[in-house]
Amino acid sequence: MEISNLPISPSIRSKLLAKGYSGEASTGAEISIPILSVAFLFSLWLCRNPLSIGKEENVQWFTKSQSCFLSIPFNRSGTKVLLTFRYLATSEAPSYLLSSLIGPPSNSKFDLGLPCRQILASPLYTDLSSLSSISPSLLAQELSIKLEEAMEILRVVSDTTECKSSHIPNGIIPGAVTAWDMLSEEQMQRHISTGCEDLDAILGGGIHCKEVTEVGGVPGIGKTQLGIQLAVNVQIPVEYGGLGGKAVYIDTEGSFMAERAYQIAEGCICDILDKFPSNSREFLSCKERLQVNNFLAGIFYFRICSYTEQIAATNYLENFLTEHRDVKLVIIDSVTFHFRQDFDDLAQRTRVLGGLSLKLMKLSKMFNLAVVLLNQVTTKFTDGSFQLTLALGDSWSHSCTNRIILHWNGNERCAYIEKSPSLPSASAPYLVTGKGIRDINSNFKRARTM
Amino acid sequence: MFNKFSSEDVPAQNQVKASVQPKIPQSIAEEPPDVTPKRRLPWLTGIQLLSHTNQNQHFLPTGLQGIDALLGGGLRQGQVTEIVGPSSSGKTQVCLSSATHVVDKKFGVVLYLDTSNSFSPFRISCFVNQVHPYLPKELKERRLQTIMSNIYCQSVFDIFALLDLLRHVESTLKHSVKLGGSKLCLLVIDSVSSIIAPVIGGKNSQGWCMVASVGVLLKRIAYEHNIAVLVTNHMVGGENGTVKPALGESWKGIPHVRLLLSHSTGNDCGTVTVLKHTLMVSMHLHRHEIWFKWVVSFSILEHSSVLVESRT
Repeated sequence: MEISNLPISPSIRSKLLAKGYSGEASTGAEISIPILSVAFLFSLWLCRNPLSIGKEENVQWFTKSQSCFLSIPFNRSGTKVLLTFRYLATSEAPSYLLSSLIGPPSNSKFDLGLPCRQILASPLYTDLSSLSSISPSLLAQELSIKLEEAMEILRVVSDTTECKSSHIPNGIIPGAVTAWDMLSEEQMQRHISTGCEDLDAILGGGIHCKEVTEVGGVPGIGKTQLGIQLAVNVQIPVEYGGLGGKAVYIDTEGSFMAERAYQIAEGCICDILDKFPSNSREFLSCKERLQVNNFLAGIFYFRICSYTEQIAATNYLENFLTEHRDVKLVIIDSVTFHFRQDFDDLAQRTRVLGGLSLKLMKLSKMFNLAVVLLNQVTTKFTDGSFQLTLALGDSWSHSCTNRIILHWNGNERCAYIEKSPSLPSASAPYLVTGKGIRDINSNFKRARTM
Repeated sequence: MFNKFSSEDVPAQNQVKASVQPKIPQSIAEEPPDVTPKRRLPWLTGIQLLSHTNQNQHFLPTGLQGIDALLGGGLRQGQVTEIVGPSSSGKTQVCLSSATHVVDKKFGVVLYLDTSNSFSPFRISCFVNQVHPYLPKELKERRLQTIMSNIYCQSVFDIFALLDLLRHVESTLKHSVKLGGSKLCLLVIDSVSSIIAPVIGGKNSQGWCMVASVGVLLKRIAYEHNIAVLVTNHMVGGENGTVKPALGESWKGIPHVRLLLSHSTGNDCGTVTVLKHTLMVSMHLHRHEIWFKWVVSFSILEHSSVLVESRT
């Protein structure tokens, strides 16, 4: 947790930053002087100067759970210079945020020149719970900061340590949901239809929201077609079996054609209208509501020309989605294109992609939308032969929830579920027609149940 | 400053020494009253450790007999178990199955930390129905609710959130009172590698420091609160085209037990191999062929029938 990210007042922040620490957890024991030898030195010193022991407050032991202060006032040429020995038993401070707020992690053996009173007066709180019972005025006095600043620190502490109650159901961690609640939520979720019924069947109804689905295949198999079909199908109103949401289409290759989107939208409306007998009331109201231009207006299109733009777009998506809450689908076509060239350092590419995928997962969970990533293929040498696998390496494979591979099966296009937590491996054929993605057997019209 | 010593001074000096010296160990031993008491773990003899292990550290079932046999009974409480495997080899399934069976046998509560949105409540309900296939409908529904209400799921998407969460879990466990069996007994992190991989490597070594923190925290939570920790990891390419577990050499020492799952394409047969174990002393890897029958028996019909039942 960086100092700049902490929700504390600018004055405290500037004070801390001026002292030169950024709030990272101090690691390692700074000094390994065992307590016994310090005590031995101390006792020696005491024996030598029995008179200058003086009052109790001159020599103070502070022992907190994992660290120990020993401050000895040491007379040297008239000015009091404090020697502060500090022994940190472990590097772990559960409240590293506190140690950065309150106690300075010193890297030098002798803390000369630091404000002595501050060190003496600030016992290092290593546990958040020890701060929970202190009053703001006492804290302000100990740290010699203003009362408002002390209150702010305590407010931050209480925000970060919510529900310390011993009730397990609320108190394990804030934000945890039981599987039973998730099951009932999941059953009420609608899925995004792909246009092909067989494909919808093996997907368990369609593309799931709150999940990241990766679709990969050889060039020309229909990945972009599937992407555009999904962008149109997500906008079908709820009464007609869709989600009624908008789509974000992030295009890295430039393969999105507005004319094709127009065609697909027309085909989709046509199929919906076919469900109603012509000239009935529903037919007419449906015809009025579903306009092709509305469908095209519901697709937010971003054109990306380099990998930095892609990373920037992913970072910007959070703000965008907060403003446009009705977006239910984000498609990235294709996620590989800019990462396959210009990257010399493959390890860095893996790291960047890992961060990208975590952000997309977070977005899909937070905004309850589906993320679809389209990927390219590459050849890999496994088991003595060259095989086609999805690009971006082994480590990319764990950054999606579901994985679908599109391939040729003779003359047919087939989709195969390679990875899914809840669906069995299955494959289904589909067709790419003038109207979009359809079933193989869509020659005869079937009444589709909603 | 130094007085000349004479024989009369010695008893005076001794008196001062005698009065001060007891205070030193006393002041080391005593603590100011407003501080949380330092927890001193006592020294244990070998016999005490063995009896503690035998009595308290039970084996939690994973639900798959082959893996349980390989692990010597199941996931051991107090230890960190890691499952490594390439993509789609069944790691998430093992995690979900363990969570279900642990709650079913009433060991306690399960906390599932999910990084890739792959926690599937539907799959858990399938496992529950597999365990109790012959119950009447209302009992089945109630059983499902009891079991699923004891599995808590939380999503984590970056390492700072994970560290915060683990520390919060630790402090909650320290302060909470056992409420009649509803104590945390299994912590699953699926997958820990996708959180750690973006921070390690590169020019600065801060990432490794955080990996070490995560490892120490997991081991401490496991040992002090008698919890089994299950983490998953993925594979990366090593030299000469071999694959090895991700996260490198420094993560290797953190799990107590490491299992490698592999899934041969084309059939539903999977192989589980033990890479590292605290009890097995062998130079060769154990290989067991395990039929993932539960993958084979899954069908679409089951999918729709479960949905209908749970809705009523």
